[in-house]
Amino acid sequence: MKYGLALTLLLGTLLLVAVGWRRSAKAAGVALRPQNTPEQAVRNLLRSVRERNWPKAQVQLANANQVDASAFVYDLAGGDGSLRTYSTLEDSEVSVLHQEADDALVRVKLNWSTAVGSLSDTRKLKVVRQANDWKVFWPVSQVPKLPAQVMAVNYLRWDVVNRGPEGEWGTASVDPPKVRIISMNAIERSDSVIVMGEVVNEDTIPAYINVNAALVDANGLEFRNEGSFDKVSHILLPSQVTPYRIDFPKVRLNQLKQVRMDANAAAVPASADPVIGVMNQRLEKDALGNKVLAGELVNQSGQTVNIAHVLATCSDDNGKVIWVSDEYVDRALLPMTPQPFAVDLPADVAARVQRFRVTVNQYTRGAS
Amino acid sequence: MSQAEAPLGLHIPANVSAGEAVTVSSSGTGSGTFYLIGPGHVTKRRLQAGDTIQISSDEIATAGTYQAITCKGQECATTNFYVTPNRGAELVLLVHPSRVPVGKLDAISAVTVVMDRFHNLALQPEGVTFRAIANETVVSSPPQMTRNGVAWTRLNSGPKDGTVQINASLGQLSERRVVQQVAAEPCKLHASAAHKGDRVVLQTQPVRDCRGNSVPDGTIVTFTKLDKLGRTTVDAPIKKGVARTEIGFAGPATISVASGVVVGNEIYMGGPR
Repeated sequence: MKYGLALTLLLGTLLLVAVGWRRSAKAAGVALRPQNTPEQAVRNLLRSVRERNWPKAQVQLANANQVDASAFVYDLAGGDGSLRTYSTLEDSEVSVLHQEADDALVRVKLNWSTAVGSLSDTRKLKVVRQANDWKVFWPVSQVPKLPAQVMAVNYLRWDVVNRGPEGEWGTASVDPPKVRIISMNAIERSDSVIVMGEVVNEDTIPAYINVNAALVDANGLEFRNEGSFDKVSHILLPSQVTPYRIDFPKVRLNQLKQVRMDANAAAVPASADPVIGVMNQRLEKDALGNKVLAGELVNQSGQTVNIAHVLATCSDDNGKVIWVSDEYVDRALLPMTPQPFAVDLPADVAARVQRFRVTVNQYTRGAS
Repeated sequence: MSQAEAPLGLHIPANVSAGEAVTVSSSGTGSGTFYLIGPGHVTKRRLQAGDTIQISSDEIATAGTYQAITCKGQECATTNFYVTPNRGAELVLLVHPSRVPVGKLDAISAVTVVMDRFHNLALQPEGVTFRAIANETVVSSPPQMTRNGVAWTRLNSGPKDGTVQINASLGQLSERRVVQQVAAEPCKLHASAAHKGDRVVLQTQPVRDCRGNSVPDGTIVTFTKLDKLGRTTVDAPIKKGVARTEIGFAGPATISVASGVVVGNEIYMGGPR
């Protein structure tokens, strides 16, 4: 009897410790029960990714010993000042495509919240059963490494010397570059009017451009003004062509009589480097079955491009611009290393595209 | 109130030029106050009838209509007079554009504005000569007479790239501006292709306009390759007169080259690499 009370207290203490441990583990997202479905295994992994708890994420992999830790982090968290380094995993959509007794194929759509809006990344992951648990088999990748080399660059850049506000009246200043809108098309899509086309720099110096459009109603009054914002390549080298796109939400084409276009240009310091090649552009379907314009970007210079922005112009068989779309690439462009991109195209546009042209904007840390 | 009724009269010279001092004589009896109100100046001083008033050059430096007012007690008399601009002493030269393609008619506009030494627009007609100086070649215009202080001319751009000096001169006065003449659009854009391992080196011949001037470095040349993998494009800037790039080769391909709206030759590369 005298040991009965002590035993009861001991059991009670152990019970409370167990409950507390379970609750704290649950709060920390630790799987205490076996990951008994492939979907659950992927969700647990993504929870660790969202928390940026890389060691914990890696131990949940079926091939944890084969996956290089730095490559795993580079794959998910990005590096080299890429857009991914300014991103967080907002949510994910997991669907099991195929499942057998010991392995399964799961499609996961990762929705990243980035500095330039939401970006999604769809992957197919193999999930395998190990003992009682399902674990994700992560594709082995390496942090891209280039052989050490010296790349000769004929550095070409322009600087602009301004006289300043105290300049004497009538003295010569640098004329703004001459740019020309070479095509314009206005279409109606859902509840928006979209104005798009192309601009060329016809001058011999770089131009910083902004394209603006004003919608004019039947009475000749301008009732909406918008600029192209980031749907244009703002810096244009001599003879370079850029697409532009201006969206007017909640407007119908029958409300317009006219669109007034305006391309403003200013002389700015600029560099002709880096050169980015757009390789193997083709129309194809992505993992979700949507039409995309895909290809690879190759940075042909020796410096890393932190953020690349792809602008695609689609034309019909008459050469008329029927669509302009863009996509940020969330991976840095390392020298001479192909980096895939894919720009979404609406199905009806994809069916009519006869020609397309892809240009690339780039943002490089420390460059003007 | 008219001048005849004024207790103190003023006799102002018929012609008054900006910045030239004048002497104004007064008439009448007694004493009063003299006011001078001009476009850029107001003065006030005591006046004794019969005195002469010295108006200094600073007081009438700005051309325009002035009011000379004499007041005696509550009675005032006003005389208006006009100060004309002085002779031209300064040239302002406006030349546009600062860059111009070669071989363009009436492409350069030169406008000169003649000012006197007090920055008044010199309205009296004066002969201004324009000169264009490029590569030791001087082209002069006959003197252009100013109208309302302005003379202008239009010049053709020359056949060669480089700088051209635009001079405007009036007597000993001279003002100079520099215009950059640049190559026009590329002419006969031609590229060649050569295998280099599993890659193709694409390079243009020196890119020139139809007059033989080198197209400026930095001008974008677009190389396009079409093969079984799709379409590959590279926007390469001209450096040292040529544009060059390297792209992968994966079997038969058609390669074309363009710059802006100018299209160059097309190359077919066949067979395995």
